[in-house]
Amino acid sequence: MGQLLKRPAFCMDSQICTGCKTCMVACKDKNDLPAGVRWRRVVEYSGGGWLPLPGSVFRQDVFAYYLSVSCNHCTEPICVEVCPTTAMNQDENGVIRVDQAKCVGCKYCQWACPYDAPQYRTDTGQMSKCDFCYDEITAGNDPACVAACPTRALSIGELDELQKCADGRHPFAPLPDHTYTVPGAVFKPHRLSKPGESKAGAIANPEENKDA
Amino acid sequence: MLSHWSLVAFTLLIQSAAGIVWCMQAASISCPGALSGGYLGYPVFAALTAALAGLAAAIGHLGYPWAGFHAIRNLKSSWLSRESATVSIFIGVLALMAAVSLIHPVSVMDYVLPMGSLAAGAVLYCMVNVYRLRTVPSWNHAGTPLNYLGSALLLGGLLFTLVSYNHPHVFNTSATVPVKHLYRNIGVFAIVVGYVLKIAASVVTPPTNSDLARGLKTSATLAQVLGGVALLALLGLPEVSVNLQRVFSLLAMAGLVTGEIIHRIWFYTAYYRVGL
Repeated sequence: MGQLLKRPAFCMDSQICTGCKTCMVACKDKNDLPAGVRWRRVVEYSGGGWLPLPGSVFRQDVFAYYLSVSCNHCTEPICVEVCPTTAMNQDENGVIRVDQAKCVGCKYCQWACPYDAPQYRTDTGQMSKCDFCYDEITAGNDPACVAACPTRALSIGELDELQKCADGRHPFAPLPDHTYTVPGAVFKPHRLSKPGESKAGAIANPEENKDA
Repeated sequence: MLSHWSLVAFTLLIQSAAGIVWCMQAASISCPGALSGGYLGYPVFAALTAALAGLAAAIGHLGYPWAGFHAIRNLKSSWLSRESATVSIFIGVLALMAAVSLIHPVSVMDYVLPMGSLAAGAVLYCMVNVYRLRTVPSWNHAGTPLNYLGSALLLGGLLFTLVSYNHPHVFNTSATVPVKHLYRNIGVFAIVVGYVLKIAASVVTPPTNSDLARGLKTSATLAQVLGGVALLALLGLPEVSVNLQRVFSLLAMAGLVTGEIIHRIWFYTAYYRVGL
C-alpha cells in the first residue's frame, strides 16, 4: 500500500477472530493510552445452554464469538453531528479525528456513539478515539491493530470493495442496527452469530470494556 | 456512567430561571402595569442568579473548559451548540432585564420581557433536543420534553411565588388590583401545571431496567406526592392558622424541590444507549 486509500475501512472477520486482544494491546501501546482508555475493544458475545430432548437426553447449543471494534469512521457519524465545537471532524477520506485544540470534553459524542468509540481521557480532560493510525496509513503502512493481528481477522481496504462481499452488510449481535450511523466498516459474521436484535446471548466481558 | 451532578444543577437552574421569566410575562399580560416600581428587581435577579449558577455548573461539567468559546461552532447540526448559544442569549437578556429594572422599570420592560420569554422558550427547546438522541432510547421519547417543561413551570412557579411573598413592595402597594393575589395565583398555577406535566411525563416514559434507577424514581415520586399533598392542603384549607400554613408551605417546597432533584438524577441514571 503506497498511498492513503480513498475511503479506508476496517474489515473484521468474526469467524477467524480468537479474541486474543493483541489488536487492543497494540493500539494501546502505539498510542500510549492510559489505563481505562480503549480505542479498540474486543467484545465476547456468548450464550446458549442445555436443550432437553426426548428420553432424558440433553443437547447443548452454546455459542461464543468475538468482535474487535474501534471507531468505524461512519458514513453518517453521529459524533460529528452532535459535537458542539466541531472538534469531531471527518476528512475527505472519511477518517474521523478529534481536534484537540477545540475539544472541551463535554462527552456528548460518547453519549451518542453506539459503538462506544469516543473515549474520555481524565489526564487531558478531552475526548480521544481511533484515528486509523493516520500517521501510519498516510505513510503506506497498516494501522497498529491490523499489523498486530496474528490471525489476519482484522484488515483494512477500500470501503466499497469490502462491501461487495454479501456477508458483511448485515449487523449481527451485539452490533447495533447499521442505519443509526451507517458504519464505514465491514463485519463478517461468525457461523454461529445471532441476528442484530437477538437476545439469545450477552456480552460476556463487560468489565474488560467499561471505563476504568 | 455519566458525571451527571453538574448537569442536574445546570438543567434545573436554567429551567427555574425560564419558569420565573414566564411567570413574570404571565403577570404582565394578565395585569398590565402590575409589574411596577421596585418589584421587578427581585424576580429578575432571582432568575439571573439561577441562570448564572446553572452556567457555572455547566462549565464545571466540561473536562477542558478553556476551549469553551468553540461551543457555538456547530450550530448547523449540534443541539448542544445551539443550547450554548441560546443560554448565552438568555443570560444576556436577563442581564438587560436586571439593568432595566433598576433604571426604567415599566416602559422599557414591556419590550424586554417578551424577549426574555422567547429566549427562555428557545433555551428549553434546545435543551430538550440535546437529549433526543436517536441512539439513546431512554431519553428519546415524549416524556423528555414534558418532563423538562414541567420542571421549568414547577420550579419557576415556586421561586416566583417565594419572591412575590417576600417582597415588601407587594404588601405596600397602593394599586387597586390585588397584586399580591395575582402573583400568588400565577405562581401556584405554574406549579400546578408543571405538576400535571410531570405526571404526564411519567405515564409516557418507558420503564427502566436497573434497580437503582427504579429506586430513584420511586423516591422522587414519593417526595413529589408529599409536596403535592402539602400544596393541596395549603390551597384547600385557607382557614387554618398561619403557623400551619407555614408548615404546609415548607413541606410543599421541600417535597417538590427534593422530588425534582431526585427525579433529575434518575433521568441521568436511567441512560441507556443502543449498541455496545
